[in-house]
Order: sequence, then C-alpha cells, then structure tokens
Amino acid sequence: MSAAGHYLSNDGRTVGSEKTGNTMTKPTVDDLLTGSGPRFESSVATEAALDALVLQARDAKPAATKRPALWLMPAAMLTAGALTAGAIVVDQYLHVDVPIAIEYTTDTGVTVACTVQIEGGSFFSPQPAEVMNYYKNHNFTGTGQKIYDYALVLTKDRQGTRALLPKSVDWLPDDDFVAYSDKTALNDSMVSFLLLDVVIDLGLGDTSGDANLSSDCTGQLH
Amino acid sequence: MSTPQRSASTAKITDAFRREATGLLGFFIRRGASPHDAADLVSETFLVAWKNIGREKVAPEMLRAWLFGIARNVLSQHRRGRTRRLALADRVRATLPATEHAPAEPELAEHVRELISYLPELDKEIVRLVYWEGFTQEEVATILGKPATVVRARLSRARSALRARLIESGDLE
Repeated sequence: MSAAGHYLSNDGRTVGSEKTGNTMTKPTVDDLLTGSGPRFESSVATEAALDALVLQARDAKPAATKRPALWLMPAAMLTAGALTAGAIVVDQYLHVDVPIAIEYTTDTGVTVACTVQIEGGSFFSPQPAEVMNYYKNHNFTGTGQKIYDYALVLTKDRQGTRALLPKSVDWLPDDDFVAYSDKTALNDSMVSFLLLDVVIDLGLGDTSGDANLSSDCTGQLH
Repeated sequence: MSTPQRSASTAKITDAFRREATGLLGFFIRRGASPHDAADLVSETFLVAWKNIGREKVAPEMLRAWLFGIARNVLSQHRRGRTRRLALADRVRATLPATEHAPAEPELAEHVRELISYLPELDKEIVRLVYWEGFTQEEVATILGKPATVVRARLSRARSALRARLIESGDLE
C-alpha cells in the first residue's frame, strides 16, 4: 500500500484506495486481493528473449497465416463495411458481395437484424466457383439464431450442448474456458457458421489461407 | 513504403509492446498455462496484435487493454486445444522451465485465490484483471467488451463479497 492510501497491483499500478486511518500495517481487502496473484518473476534472459520476440513478431510475414489464425481473429477484424450487390473473383481473392442476412431474437426479446459479407481471401481459392455458388444460393434462414445461440455459449451466458455447436466445432466450454466478450463471441460464432462450416459442407478438406468477414452486426446479445 | 510518421508510430507501438511482453507472459502463467505454452501464447498474441494494429484505431492509452484483450482470446483458444507451437517462441522457451515450480505462497494468498475462484465467471475475471494485472475499470471494460458501468457495479459487488468472506475467516478486520 502506498502512503497515500492507494493500493498497487503486481506491476505497481494504482488500483484502488481505502481509508485505513493509522493502521498502516493492517492489510485491507485491496491489499489482500492484490497480493493474491500467483507470483511470476522473469529472468533477465527471458526479458531479453521477449524483447526479441516482439521485434520478430513485428517482422513476421502476414502471409504465413495458417488456418488457426481464423479462430484468433479479434473482433475488430470483423468490421462494418458498405454492402453492395454482386459477386466477383479477382486474382483468386473471393469477394461475395451479396450480404447474408442475420436475424436473431435475444434472451430479452429483442429482434436483431444485421448482415454479413464474406471476403474469402486465399482460404477458398482452390474452389472459388463452388464457394461463390454456395454463398449465393444457400438458404441461410435460421442461421442467425444458431449463430446467436452458440455465441451465448461462448460468453457462458448459456450452458453449451452439442446441438448448439457449429459443424466445425467439436468442443464445449469447460470450467477453464475464459468467457468471450459479447462482440467477440458473436464474431467467433459467425466465423464458425459462415466460414468454417462451409469448408465442411463443400468438402474442401484441409484448407489454409486467409479469410475475413465484414459485418454491421454490433454484437448485441441481450 | 514507410513514411517517417508511420515509422514513428511503429516505433512507439514497438516500445509499448516490449513493455508489456513480460506482463503478458505472467498473465498466461498466472492463468495456469505452462511456461512453455505461455511462450507460444505470447508469440501468438503479438503476431495477432501486429497483424491488426494497422487495421484498428487503438488509442495509445488503451493499447495495453487492447493487447490483453487479444491475449484473452488467445488463451481461450489455447484452452480449446488450438495452440500452435511457434518457432518464434523458441528463444523465450529456452529461458523457461517446462513446468512451473511455483514459489511457496503465503497461505493467505492461496485462501484469497480460492475465494476469488468461487465468484461468478465474469466477476472473477474482473477481479483478476484489476488486482492481478493492474488494469483500471475502464480498461477492463475494453478488454471484456462490457459497459464500464457493468464492470464498476460487478467489481464493487465482488469486492464487498470478498471482504465479507475475509472477515468471516478472520483474515480481515
């Protein structure tokens, strides 16, 4: 605890304060909480290696992205964009410019309607025509609600069951799973249902490469 | 082609990331990842961060929160068995033991951790981010994607509950 009555976290940042009068030696609840974090002390060698790692990661080529990166896409990669009709393939880069309508009803009774646009990247490059045809002709009615239901599983707002899982996911959150934020959960769910499941539906096998979704969905889950 | 302005920005971001690297490693280890896995998770976090930093407008003061938000996603993927073993992490891994030999912790710290573990998932994470990682409540809101009002209310409630438990157990007056 600092002299001013503020309490510091493991890395020395102020996190709270509490009046304790003159009992400076008695721990407060903030002291106890701050001190309860498992200790980790890095060596000089580790810090040097981490320093180098930051630079190496910066210089790493984005083209090295493999399929797992799809699941690591942070929320902001699923950005809102102007949605126009049509569909084009340019240099093996698939743009399905026909928006997919997403509609779901939240657990509070709110009906949410938004759209998703697929930007397939190199992910679908082996079979762009089939993929294009799929997205243009597939009936996505009901998919929005499935996306929503699975998103609630990822936020831990709902108990997961196998019936709620996308085809591309064979896993249910366990106690160790760190719940996603609402927006990340919705984005992850959209990636699963609208990108990864398509790989299975079309039998594309072990596809690798890059792919994006654009969406005007805000991540509202309640 | 990089402009001087962009270079300056990249330099600042690089410095910021370097400052957070050790904290990220500790973040993963404190949440149960083995040191070797933690090295991969740090690598993955920085790969994702560098890939996306140019696509997003991240306010400098929220950069740390943004980075740890990515780290939480990476940790979730790790717990779903989706960790890549990255050559990028080799050097860090070489400086770490394969498994964590936790230093002897005071019994009180373990007791407090146990009490925290009984909190609802969201409250538990808020408490850890605030007290273990040193984030402000506004930063926690950014990391978790929740309104700051929710974070404030839940932290207040969790803190009160923990205080009551600690008084009950005689660890707090």
